[in-house]
Amino acid sequence: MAYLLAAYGVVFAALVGYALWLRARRSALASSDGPGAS
Amino acid sequence: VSAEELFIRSSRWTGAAAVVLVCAWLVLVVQAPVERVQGIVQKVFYLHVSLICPAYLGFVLAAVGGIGFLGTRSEAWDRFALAGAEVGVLFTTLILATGPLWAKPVWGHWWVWDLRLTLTLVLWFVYVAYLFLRAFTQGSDAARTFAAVYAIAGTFVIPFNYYAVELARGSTMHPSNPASEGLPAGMVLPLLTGMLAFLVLFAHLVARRLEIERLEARLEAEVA
Repeated sequence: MAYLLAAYGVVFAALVGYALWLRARRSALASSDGPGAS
Repeated sequence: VSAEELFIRSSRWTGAAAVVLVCAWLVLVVQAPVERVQGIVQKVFYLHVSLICPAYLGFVLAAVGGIGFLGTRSEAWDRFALAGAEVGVLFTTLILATGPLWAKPVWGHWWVWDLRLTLTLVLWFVYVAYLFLRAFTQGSDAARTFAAVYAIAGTFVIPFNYYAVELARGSTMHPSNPASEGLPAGMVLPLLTGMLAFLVLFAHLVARRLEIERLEARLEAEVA
């Protein structure tokens, strides 16, 4: 059971982490791209 | 509106669709029958195998983007290639992480140097090298051309990786591809739902990554 939870945990942590990192990077770039950026 | 813009806009609904599909998939995984020999840990199968489609697709997109760039010299194709490769590397990393977590309780080893595992590691190294190449050679047209050719050449590893178990002719511990094995009825739906969920999530992540590349290009153009 520990191996199963570890496998699913690693995948979800990595995918959610990557999605959040993309969002943060997009926000930072959009804010420096001027007020018209969306 | 360009195709790139449409694809980026699609990330709004692909994100929501991915969340719904992943939730449905998890319910199906919980309800799937427990395999008699391996026990509960066999359910890593639905995760590990579902990650393969987006991993391959990411590298195919990198090659398609490379071909598009070589044909048109359009930076949009180049951005598409980079986004595909990066998300493909993410999914391949997760395949390499989940494989040992399934192998240890079933084989007794975290890793064995058989053909399938070794070729998956080779595939990962090929595209990690591509990402390093892109990171250290930003902005150069010659580098973009080389990266495009490299991404196209890298896809030659994919068929060898896919057919590795057949190519090894029995001298491998890795199971055959599920399509050639014939799965019990209760295992097919969770597997197919997982594949669909991760493909939609892949499309979402590529679109978001592409948007970042486009924003960076726009900023660089403003500075220059």
